Amino acid sequence: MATKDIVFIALFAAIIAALGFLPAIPVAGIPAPITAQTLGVMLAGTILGPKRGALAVAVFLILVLAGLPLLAGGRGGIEYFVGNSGGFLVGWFFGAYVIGFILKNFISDTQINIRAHFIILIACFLGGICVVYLPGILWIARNTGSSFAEVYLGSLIFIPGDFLKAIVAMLVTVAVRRIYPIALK
Amino acid sequence: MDLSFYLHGNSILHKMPTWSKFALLVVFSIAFYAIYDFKVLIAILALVILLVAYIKVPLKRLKAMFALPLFMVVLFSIFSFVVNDLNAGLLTFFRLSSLVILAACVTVTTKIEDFMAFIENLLLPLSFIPFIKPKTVSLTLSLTLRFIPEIFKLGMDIKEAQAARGLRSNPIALIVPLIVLTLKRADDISDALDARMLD
Repeated sequence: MATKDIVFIALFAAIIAALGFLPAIPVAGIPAPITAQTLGVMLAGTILGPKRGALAVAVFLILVLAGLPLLAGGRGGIEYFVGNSGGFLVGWFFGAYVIGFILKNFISDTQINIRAHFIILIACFLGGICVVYLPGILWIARNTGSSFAEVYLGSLIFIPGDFLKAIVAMLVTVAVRRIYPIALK
Repeated sequence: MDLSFYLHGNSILHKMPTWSKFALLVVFSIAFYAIYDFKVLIAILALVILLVAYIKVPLKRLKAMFALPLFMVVLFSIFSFVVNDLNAGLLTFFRLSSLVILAACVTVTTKIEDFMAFIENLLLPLSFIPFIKPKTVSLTLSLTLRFIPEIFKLGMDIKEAQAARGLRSNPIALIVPLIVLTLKRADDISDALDARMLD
């Protein structure tokens, strides 16, 4: 891995952390403001690509594991991996990979057309929501002894917010790739 | 350009090896969640505050160190109170505030390079996996730590500049320049690393 890849990974991990500290985004119609951190996870995949994106998430998670309060809301430490959010945190890693994988294989590095917009949105939905929620829901179901369906229904209230994030991630990705395109890796 | 939260000092926390501090932090973070007795929780919080006084955090640093995390703790406690009940809210407040302060104490008494050496040692058993080179991993981690405060400040600056021009809070207008400006620095940083012969 070249030095520049390492720098990209480190900087993006820092971006994910910084997004957790920036004031949450108020969204009309949704009572809880959404934090930009999971947006950062989606963007790691769309901007850096599968390997570097997933590694940026991994670096961020290691720092959280080390006890640094980098999760949105100034949280951190091993208890968040053992607690109910643990599955989602692990899901972030795979989510970023899947998003990057889809983009790398289905859009060209130079041309951003309507089709590319659509693919980026689908990638963020599949990777950033489906892939992230699967381990998240399984983990909570296991922890609380409830069924997959119950936890799935319970987590449905977060889907609209996450879908909005996928849209924001798509718009940000398109804008960033137009100004500063990076070959996906 | 200063990332380090390190405070020079001579306390026991300064002298303890890094691994023991993190081991203690992990033990406490699990143990706190097993405590439901408010008397014990208040006593722990008082002890932790005494610890802050003991490692002699200057008054000027207190605000920077605790304002945001404690504000977040209060928010989470209110959330827990609204969703569950008063008891749950108070439990969240006492546990989280003690943990946050304790973690902050570990942070200000641990040099970043010590922390990185600790992570490197942790990863040593994993170095048979091709892309996990302990040196590279610790470099990446320290680079990340080094840039979090700067990227955060950059974000606040962009927000301020946009507010001055009358733009209301807009996530896309904030995040796009934040990412582009940050990634543009990657060239300079990797040149600087190569010049110092990273490999």
